This record gives sequence, C-alpha cells and structure tokens, in this order.
Amino acid sequence: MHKKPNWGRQDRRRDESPRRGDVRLGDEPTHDPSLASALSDAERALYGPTPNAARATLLRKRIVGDARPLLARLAGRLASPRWWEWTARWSRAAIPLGAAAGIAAVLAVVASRDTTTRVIRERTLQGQPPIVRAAVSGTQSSELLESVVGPATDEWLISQVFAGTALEKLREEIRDSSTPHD
Amino acid sequence: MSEGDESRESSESVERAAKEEERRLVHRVREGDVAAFDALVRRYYNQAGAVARRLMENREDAEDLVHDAFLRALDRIETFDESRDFGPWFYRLLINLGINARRSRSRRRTEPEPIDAESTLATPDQETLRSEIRTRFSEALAALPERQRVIIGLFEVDGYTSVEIAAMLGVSPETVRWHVHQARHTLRGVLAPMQDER
Repeated sequence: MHKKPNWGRQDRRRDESPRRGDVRLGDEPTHDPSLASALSDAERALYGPTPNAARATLLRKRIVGDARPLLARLAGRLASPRWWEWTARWSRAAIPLGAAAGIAAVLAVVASRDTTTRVIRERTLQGQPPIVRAAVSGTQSSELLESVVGPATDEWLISQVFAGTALEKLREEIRDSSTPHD
Repeated sequence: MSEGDESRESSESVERAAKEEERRLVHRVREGDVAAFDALVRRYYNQAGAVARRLMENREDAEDLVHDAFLRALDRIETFDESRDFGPWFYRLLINLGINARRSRSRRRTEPEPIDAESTLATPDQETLRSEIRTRFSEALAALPERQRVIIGLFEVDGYTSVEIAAMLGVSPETVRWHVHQARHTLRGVLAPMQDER
C-alpha cells in the first residue's frame, strides 16, 4: 500500500484539521456556479485547455501500448512461476500439512521406541547363558535364582523337607546300632 | 420499506457490483490481460487527468504523470491488496509521483490562453478592471496550497462530491469540505469587486 501523499511544507504550514462540531463541515457544500466559471477560466489560463477526446484517446493508446511488455511479463510469470512464487502459492496448504506430518512422525517414533528396544535386546541375548539373559532383562533376584537352580515349587520344597527328615532318621539308626546294648 | 430506503439499497447494490467488477478487472490485469488493463485505464483516465492537471499545472506534464502513474501501478500491481478498492491506491500513487516529479523537474510553462471577454458591452474601464481581477484570481488560485487547489478544482469545476474526492486523495470528507471552505473564502475575496460591479 502506498503511503499518504506528502503535500509539501507549504501545505503543512497552512493546513489545519477541521474543527470538530463545525456545522459547515458536516453537510455537503452546494456548488457555486460563478466560482466554478471563474475557476474554469483561470485553470484554462494556468494549465492550458483540457485535452480533447482525440488527444485523450491517443494518450490512452500510448499507455496501453507501453504497458504491453509489463503485461507480457505478468502473463509469463503466471505460466512459469519462479520458485518463491510457487512456494508462496503452496505455502498456505504446505505449512499445516508439514506441521501435521511432523507431529505424526514424532508420535510414530515414540510408539515404536519400546518395540525397537525389545527386539534389539532379544536378538542380542539369543544364545547367551540363562543367567546373563536373566540379569540383562532386569528380572528380580528370586526369578534369577529360579533361572539358575530351577523353580522353587511346593513339591520341591516338600521333597527337600522330607529328604532332610529321612537323613536324620538314618543317622539316628546308625548311631543306635553302633551304641553297645546293655 | 420507504422509497428512500429502496433507492439507497439499489444504489448500494450497484456500487457493490461495480466494485466486484473492478476487482475482477484488477485480477485479470495481474494475469497480464491487456483488455482488462485497457478497461481499467478507461475507467480512471478522466479523474486521473483532472487531478494531474491541477497537480502539475501544465497539460504536457499532466499527461506524462497520468502515463507514468498507470505504468507504475501496473509494475506494482502484485503488491496491491485485491480486497481493497483500486481507486484510492492508484490516486495515492499518482499524487506521490506527481509531487516527486514537481520537485525534481523544472516546470514547463504553458502559454496562457486568452480568456474570452465576458461581455462585449463592457466599457474599456470595466474591461480593464475585469482583466485585472482575472489575473489576480489566477494568481490567487496558483498561490493556494497544492491540496486545496486540487480539491477546489475537483469540487467546483469537475463536480465531484466531497466523499468522492476524499476517496481519491485518501483523506476524510470533512477535510475535503474544510479545504473547499478555505479555498472559497480566499477566491471569493478576489472575485468580490467584480460581483460588486454587477
């Protein structure tokens, strides 16, 4: 947009804002035929006669003729836009699309991170001893113990208890048989 | 609905249609359409000429200004906001261009045209007085501030309303009326002896 015309120092000195509430400024002034006639004469004397229709047509044709290269440039630009014009034309759609794609990419990365870590760990631990697998996979101490010595089931515990009792009995029997009877 | 409301509504719809047509025209010009540019020049040529003549105080310079203003507008058409009216944008460009041209270019003088005698029945003394008053009037007109001289000419000679002139010059209608009032005050003061004589 063009800035407001700067009418010159002389105008600024004489120019005053219209006073508010001045009734003369509220209504459209009526035209003054005698002033109009005097002005018309004075303008003709000062600026020369107004151009006639033929002269006006000639000037108009000159303007349009001289504008042809500019118009051709505008038409050419439309046919093969420069890269920044092409970008500017698509920027309205491209910016939201790019932002949406970025958000989707971040979400995808976050979602796949756990899966990727698990797969890598599994592949790395393949063929490793159970104790290493258990230690690396962050299992609890009881689970680690199970992985080394086997699961601590109820049956195992009972058998161990009973095994202890039988051993104690056998010891007693041996002690009894070796002791001389009265 | 009253008759006044109907006529106001119809004039508003005519104005809207004209603005829409102009918007399409400007859009076609941006695409390099020669016919559209020609139509835009036809639409603004007379008003532009009227402003330029008063700004440059010389017919040849005024024609050059109109020519340059249309080409400059075309050169900058891509910076023009199509949602706005073309007229005020174009006139601002023309006026700024004119003010700069006046500053940089030495003024070509137009030979003053002989002014027709108002009455052949006037006595030599009366004719001398009138001639003197006309000279003083022309001097007073030339001495008016640029903007005031343009405004009073557009208003009194070309018959534009204060609203139309305000839109052309990018000022408020009140400012236009104030300038009309001031210019009239100055010029009527010069014309007073001639009117007293009648």
